[in-house]
Amino acid sequence: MMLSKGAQRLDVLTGVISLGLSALLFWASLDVKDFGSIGVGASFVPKLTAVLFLLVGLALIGGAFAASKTSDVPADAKPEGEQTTGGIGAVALSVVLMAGYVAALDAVGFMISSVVYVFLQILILCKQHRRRYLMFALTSVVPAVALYYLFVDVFDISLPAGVLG
Amino acid sequence: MLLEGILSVLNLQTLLLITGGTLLGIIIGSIPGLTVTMGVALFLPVTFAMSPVDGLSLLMGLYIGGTSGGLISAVLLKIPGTPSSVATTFDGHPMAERGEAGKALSVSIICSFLGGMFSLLVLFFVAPKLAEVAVQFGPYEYFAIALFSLTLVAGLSGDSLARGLVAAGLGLTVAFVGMAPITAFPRFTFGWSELDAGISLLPALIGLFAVSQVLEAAESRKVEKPMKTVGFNLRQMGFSIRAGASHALNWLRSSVIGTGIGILPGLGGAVCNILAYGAAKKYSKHPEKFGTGITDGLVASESSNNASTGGALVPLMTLGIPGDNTAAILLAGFMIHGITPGPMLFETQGVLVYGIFTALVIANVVMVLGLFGFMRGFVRVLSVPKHILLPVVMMLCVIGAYGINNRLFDVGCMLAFGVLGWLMKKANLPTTPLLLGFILGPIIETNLRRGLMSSRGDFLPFLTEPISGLTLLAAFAVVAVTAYRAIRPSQKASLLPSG
Repeated sequence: MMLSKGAQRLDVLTGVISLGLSALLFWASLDVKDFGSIGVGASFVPKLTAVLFLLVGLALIGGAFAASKTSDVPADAKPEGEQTTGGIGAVALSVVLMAGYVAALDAVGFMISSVVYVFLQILILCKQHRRRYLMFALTSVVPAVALYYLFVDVFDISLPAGVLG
Repeated sequence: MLLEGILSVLNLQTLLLITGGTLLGIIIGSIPGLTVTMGVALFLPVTFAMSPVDGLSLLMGLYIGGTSGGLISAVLLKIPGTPSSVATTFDGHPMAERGEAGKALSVSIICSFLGGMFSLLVLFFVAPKLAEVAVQFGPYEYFAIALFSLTLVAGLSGDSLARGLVAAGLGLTVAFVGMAPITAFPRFTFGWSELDAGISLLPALIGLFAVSQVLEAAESRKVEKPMKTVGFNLRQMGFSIRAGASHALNWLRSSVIGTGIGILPGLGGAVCNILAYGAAKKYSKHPEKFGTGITDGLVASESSNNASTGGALVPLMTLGIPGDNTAAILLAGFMIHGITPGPMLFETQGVLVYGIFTALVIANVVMVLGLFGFMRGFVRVLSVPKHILLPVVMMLCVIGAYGINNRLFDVGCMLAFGVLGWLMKKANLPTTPLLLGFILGPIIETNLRRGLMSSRGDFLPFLTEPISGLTLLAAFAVVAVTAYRAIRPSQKASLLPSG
C-alpha cells in the first residue's frame, strides 16, 4: 500500500480521532437506560458503533504505519495557485462572522444582521478582486430586504424582525 | 388514482412551481461549485407552507433542472457544473472549440431529456411492483437492506472503506441523539432539552452541503478569474432524426446504466456518466475518436446522468431508503409534510405518488424548453462571481434552518454541521456516508431491536430469512471486496469523487 507522507499523517490523525470517538461513545452509552427489554436495549447499537470506531481507528493507524515502512513514498504535491488571501485565517474569520450573525439574529433582526453579515463575508471572499464597496453594499441590502419580505409575506415563514419589528 | 394524480398537478400554481423550480435548478446546476443537492436543500424551507403536491413538485423540478444544468458549463467552459457532467466535458468542449457548441448543447439537451424519460418509465412500472413486494418486508428485511445500503455507500464513497466507515459511524452517532427508538427515553442529550427530539435533518443537510462550501471558498487561495465561455450560435442547434437514430443503441445502453446505478445506494449521476462513457467507448466502432469531440460521448454521458434521477427515486419511494445525497434531501421534503416514503406510500398516498410522476415528466419537458429557450440567460449567470453569490446563499441557509421550528438552536446546529462538513473535506472523509448514517441509523436500530424482540433475543432469523440473509451476505461481500481492493494497490480504484 503506497501512501504519501501527508496521507499517512491524515490516516493516523483520523485513526486517533476514531479511537477517541469510540471511547467517548462507549462511556456515554453506559448512562443510557436499557429498561431490561427483550433482545437488546437502547445502549446496544451505540456500543456497537463504538466498537466500529475502535476497529476502524486501529485499521487506519495500522495501515499508515505499514505504509510508512515502504521505501518509495511519493512526495506530497505542493498546492497550486496564486498565494493571496484565504487560508485557515479566512475560514476562522468566516466562522466567527457566521456565529456573530446567528447570535445577532434575535436581538437585531434578520434584515440588519443579514446586511452586515453579507457585506463583511463578501469582503472576506473577494480576495484580490477590486473592492467595489457600493456594489457590495447594494448586494447586501437588496437580497436581505427582498428575501425577508418574500419569505415572511409570500411563503409565510416567520423570521426575527428585531429592532425593526 | 392515476388520473387524480395527474390532475392534481395540472393547475396554474403547480405548473408555475415546476417551471420555476426547473429553471432555478438549471441555474444552480450550471454554476460550478453549486450543487443540485445544495439547491434542493436551500429551497426545502420554501415548501413549508405549500401542499405536499406543490412542495414536492417544486423540489422535483429543482432536481431535474439541477442535474441537467451542469451540461452548459461542461460544454462551454470545460468545467462540469455538477459531478454528473464530468464526461460531458470530454467531447462537449472540443466540439465547442471547433465551433460546434450549438450542436453539442442540443445533443446534450435532447439526450438529457430522453435519458430522464427512460428512467421515469422504469420508475412508473417498477416502483409500484417493488412496493407490493416490500409491503411483505418485516424488521429482518428492513434491517438488512438499510445495513447493506450504508455499507455500500461507505465502501464506494471516497477512496477508502475505513474513511467511509468513520463517516458512517459519525452519522449513526448523530442519529443516536434524542429519543431512543422503542423505549422513547432521551439519550446523549447531556441535559439539553433542545436535543430531546434529536437533531433536525434539515439544518444538518444545509450545513453539510451549503455552509461548508462558503468555508471552502473562504479557504481557497486561488483568485477567482472571470469565466470566459466559448461562443455559440443558437442557429446551429438541432440535428437530423437520422443522426439521432444512429445513437439509439448508445442511448439505450447509457440509460440502462444510469437507471441501474441510480437505483443502487451510494452511486448516482457522478459515477454513471463516467461508466456509460467508458461503455460507449468500449463498444464503439471508432473508440480512438472519443475525447476529440464526437457526439457519441455526449449521448452516453447526458443520457446516463439524467437516467439516474428516476433510478434514485425507486428505493426512496418504495423502501424509504435514499440512494444518494439529493434523494436524502427529497426524503426530508416528504417528511416535512408528514409523509413517510415506503411501500405503504403507494396505498396511502397514491394520488401524491402519481402527482410526483407527472411533475417529473413536466419538469423534463420544461428542462428541454428552458435550456433551448433561455440558453443565453443561463450563460450570463455563469459570470456572477462566487464572492457575491455565496454570502447570499448563506442568508438562504439561515432562513432554511430557522424556518423549521423558529428557533436559533437549529441555526446553530446548521453552523456546527457546516464546520464539520469543511473539516471532513480537509480530512478527506466523504460526507455521503455521514448523511446516510444519520438517516438510516434509526431504521437500522429500530428494526434490529424489533427483530430481536420478535425472535426473543435470537440473532439467527436475520441470517435464515431468505431476503434478509442474502442482503446481509451482499453487505459482507461489499466490505470484503472493498477491503481486498484496498490491500491490493494495483486494483485500488475510486468510483466516486470524495464527498
